[in-house]
Amino acid sequence: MAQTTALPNAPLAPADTLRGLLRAGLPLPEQAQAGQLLELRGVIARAGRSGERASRIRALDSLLRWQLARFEHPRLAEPARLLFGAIRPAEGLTLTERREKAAAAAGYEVHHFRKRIEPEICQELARMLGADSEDLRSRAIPPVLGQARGPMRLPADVFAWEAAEHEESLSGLWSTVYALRAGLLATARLASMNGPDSGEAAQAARTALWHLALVLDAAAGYRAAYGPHLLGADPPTKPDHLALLAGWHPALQEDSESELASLAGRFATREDFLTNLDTCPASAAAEDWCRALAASTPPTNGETL
Amino acid sequence: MDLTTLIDPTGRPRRFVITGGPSAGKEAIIDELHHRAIPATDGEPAREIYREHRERLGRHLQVGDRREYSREVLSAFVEEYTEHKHGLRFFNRGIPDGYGWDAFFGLGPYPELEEATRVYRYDGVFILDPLDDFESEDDLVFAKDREIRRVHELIVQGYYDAGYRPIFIPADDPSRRIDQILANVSAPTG
Repeated sequence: MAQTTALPNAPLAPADTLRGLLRAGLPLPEQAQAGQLLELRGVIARAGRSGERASRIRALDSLLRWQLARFEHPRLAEPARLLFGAIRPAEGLTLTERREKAAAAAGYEVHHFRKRIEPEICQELARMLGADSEDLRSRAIPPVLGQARGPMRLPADVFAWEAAEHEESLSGLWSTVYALRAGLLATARLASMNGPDSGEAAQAARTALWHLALVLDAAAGYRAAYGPHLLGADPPTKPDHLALLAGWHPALQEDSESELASLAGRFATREDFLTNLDTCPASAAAEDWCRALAASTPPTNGETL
Repeated sequence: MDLTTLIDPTGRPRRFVITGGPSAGKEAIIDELHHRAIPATDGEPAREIYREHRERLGRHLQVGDRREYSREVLSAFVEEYTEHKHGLRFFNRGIPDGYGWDAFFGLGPYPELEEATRVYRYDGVFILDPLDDFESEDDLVFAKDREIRRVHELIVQGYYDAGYRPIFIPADDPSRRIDQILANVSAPTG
């Protein structure tokens, strides 16, 4: 049977890296050989200045402490904290001293502890770090809906108010994205049923344009409140790029997008928006957009119905 | 140790922070502390600042307003810290909460926050684990939403960055959580 051999320069597995960190223990020294652990999503998300290695080391240090604090293994929780020097009786001790205390707490002989139990602890800690990073994976996804069991109640807490306000903004933004999706689907369906040049398809395309303008207007509002990217989205996502998730639609120049967003902000209803669209500087671009959208989805059998 | 000795109302000031994300059940803990006549923050200064800011601006906070708002909240936390002169007191959030909150909004730490964190040190920090129980009274609008988890984790990180070693209080009945907090409060040392 073929055996796999680690390449000479292959990065260490997280559990092996953690074993290497045991020598100094916590707090991690600035020069700690933390390898791939510094690339963990959970570390980068917590680092105050994620571009700086020292900041990532500090974030890894606190993440390790936190994970050790909630290490739930019935037999190894306390030994794990002692081994890494995360709690008082082991803080500042050498690895040999920490190991002795940890082995005693676990009820093992020191050599057995070093050979068999330490890898087990590091493996579990590596698993926890990995799970933490997975939990933080946060693509641009809409706020999760769930069946409510009771009325919405917020504590009188500013953090709660602000988090709720952010979710209000995000929910509003996503509602425009879904409305745009509905508009794009309607246009595709009517172009397929009645032909891309039909009045129905043209009307649907104009409705879709209004919805696109509402997305852009909501995105501008979000940007003003929270900055250029959706908070917490990983990878960074611009709010107006959510429109692309609604479905394919023709591109617009940036100045036309701004015009349309502004128009949607000023005129609340579809009718008012479309009435005023004709005198707006982006009117020609808007017309081209609607025509291109309707024409993009002819029936696939090539026949005009 | 009986409660009066622990509170030690004439002794040196001992300040403990109770914090956590928005769905950690902090209000219930603060209420229960008041119920037991244990000194704790009355209300939350940040609330009024937030309300006043909104009123003054006539809209919600925007990116450009946030730093000034953070500074006002910081000065309220500092005021609450310095006004406490004797005995035990629990603070509803503390100065380093600012790290987590600013990080949530994509802002880095600013000099006044770092200075205040260095000068005004608490004797201990208790972080309430989020309440996972959907049946609980604190079943919030966002429940297990990732947004709330992110806020919570950034608050935890803020306290680590500020040099604290927080004690985590698991989700439980408020009364049992307070018992656990009190068991971890150091005795007065004269």
